[in-house]
Amino acid sequence: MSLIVITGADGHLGQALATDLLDRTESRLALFCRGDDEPARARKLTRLGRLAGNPRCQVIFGDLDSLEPMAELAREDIRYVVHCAAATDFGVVRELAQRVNVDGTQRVVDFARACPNLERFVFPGSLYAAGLREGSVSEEFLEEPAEFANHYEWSKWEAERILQAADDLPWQIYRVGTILCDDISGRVSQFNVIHNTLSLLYYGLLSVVPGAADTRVYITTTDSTVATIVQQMHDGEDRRILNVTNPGDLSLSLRDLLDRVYDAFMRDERFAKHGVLKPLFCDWESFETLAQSIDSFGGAMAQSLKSIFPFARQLFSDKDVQVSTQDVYGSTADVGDLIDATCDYLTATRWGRETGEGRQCA
Amino acid sequence: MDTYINHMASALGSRQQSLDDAGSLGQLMSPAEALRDSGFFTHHVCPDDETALDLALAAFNASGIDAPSVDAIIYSTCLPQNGSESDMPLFEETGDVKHVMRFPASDLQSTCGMRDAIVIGLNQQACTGMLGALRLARCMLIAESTFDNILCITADRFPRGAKYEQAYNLISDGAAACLVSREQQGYRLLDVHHITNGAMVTASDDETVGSYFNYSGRLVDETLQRNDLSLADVRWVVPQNTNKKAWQILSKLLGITEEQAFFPSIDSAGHVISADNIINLSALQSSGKLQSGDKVLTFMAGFGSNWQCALLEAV
Repeated sequence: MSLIVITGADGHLGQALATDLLDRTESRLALFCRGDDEPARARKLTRLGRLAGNPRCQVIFGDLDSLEPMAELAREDIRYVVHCAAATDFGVVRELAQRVNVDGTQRVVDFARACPNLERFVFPGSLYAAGLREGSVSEEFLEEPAEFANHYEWSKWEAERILQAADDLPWQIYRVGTILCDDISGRVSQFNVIHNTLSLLYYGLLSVVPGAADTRVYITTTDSTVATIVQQMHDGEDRRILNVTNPGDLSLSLRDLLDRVYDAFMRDERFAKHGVLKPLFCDWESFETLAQSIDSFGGAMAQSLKSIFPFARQLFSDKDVQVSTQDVYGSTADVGDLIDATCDYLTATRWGRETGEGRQCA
Repeated sequence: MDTYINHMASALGSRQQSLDDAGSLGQLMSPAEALRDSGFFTHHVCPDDETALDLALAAFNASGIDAPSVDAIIYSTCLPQNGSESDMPLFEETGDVKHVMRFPASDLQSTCGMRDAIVIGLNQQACTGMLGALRLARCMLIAESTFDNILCITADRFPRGAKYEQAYNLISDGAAACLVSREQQGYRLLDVHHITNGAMVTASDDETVGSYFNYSGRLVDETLQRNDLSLADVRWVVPQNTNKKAWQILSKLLGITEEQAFFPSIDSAGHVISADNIINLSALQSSGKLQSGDKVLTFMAGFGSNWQCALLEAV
């Protein structure tokens, strides 16, 4: 029976892919997770839940610094390597981004090279590997942009370069946009910078938003991303780059997105009663001043702004993302509908707190 | 009918202290360095025996207002307890509520000889109270021909044990006074616009900061619209003495240039509760920079939540 190795299998996308692959294939899965000590490993097993107990799954603890624990796998059985492990915090420091996202990717690539029957090396990257470039983002390797908003973006671009050099490997790169929600229901099980921003807006803590009003925003859903990857990893071509998000011509601008969010929030009694006004757009310098000033005073708002800060410069960088592959919604899912559904979920559950389902990402 | 603001004066708590002094006395919530970086340096506090009424008397005495000519006193306080000099021990001893109704406006009227003045207390508009008093005075002058001179006065001291910091601003105890009259002198009072969002009555410091920019923007926009003006028609903007970082952001959002903004008292006094506008308007008059016909916008945000903006024109 063929074996699929998934690194970062306890992460949001890793788990979603593992679950889908169990359903859609008969393969065994090797779930590679970081586990520094016993308590951490116990937590990860809990997080993996039913995946950990599935007889077709084998959980392997290790670290991208050394893939020694994967030596126990029979390499000739490995057909697919899905490399999800990454430091995903936009505020990641350069050294960690280098070690995990760049050097770690190199090690997994080297590991995959030693698998004689490998059919595909799948790399879920980031749309923001494009950095702060403006204009067209095609499904080809990108020249190094003049600037990246943060080290995470840079490390994802560097990781793509590693694959570009690995022309002996049947790789596929999936540049994933910002995951807004699990699916069209709007449910959110992994909270990221966009949810933090929406939370600040909802609670009236952010009366200015960094960004240019016309900047397009690229979002997707977990199920759409997973369906695209699973379908393409089996049926797609080698050495392809796919942008997994809504295409540029179907995107909402930041202004339209905020209008939609505001309208959705106004359906919530608490928000409507609270008289929160629509935020104003501010330039980067003003937002930087606000974030640094609030940071010097400390408090809850400082923490929230800190999470937005490393990503905020992207909101001034308008991209026209080209998308060749239809997602599960046919690339035509009304982005506005996704925003409506997500906002309804977030307000109804108070950002997942009232369901206990929400999980903050790094 | 035109109304004017003149005879502006102020008084500050008699003890001046540095940020570091305030920090060492436990009167700050934030690090002194963070406040210094935001434009605050020294502030004024009342010693134990100095009351808000003392400050009001000092401001009135500095104003040069002819007391017998005053027809009405609008006495505004940010903190409601500064609107009553209650004798709580006597009340607790006797159960007689008259001991919690010793009103400073009456004391002021009597002490200063404003024998014909009626008194009105205004104490639920927080830091915006002085601008609320100006609005009320203007309306009274327009509505009742028997009124000619209305004293608007605001006075607050923080209670003992209070932190002298609110929403990341360093606070001074202080008072300000001015006369709103028909006499063509000082500033012509063209309009006062007010927004209240009662749902934010319990706003946290972060919520206060969070709403500051867009509500201030709305306030200024609506004030200008009400008067068929644009910001280009306004020569001076006199904001409250707010955290300079917040002001940098707001001025950019509104399109106000550094040269248009005038709030020189922030360094020495910080945010003087409801008195900032009058202190800075008076300083603008004294600066020699103000020209006849210059339009001036002055605004304030306060708990409640309230936002008020007055549009003035230099005589």
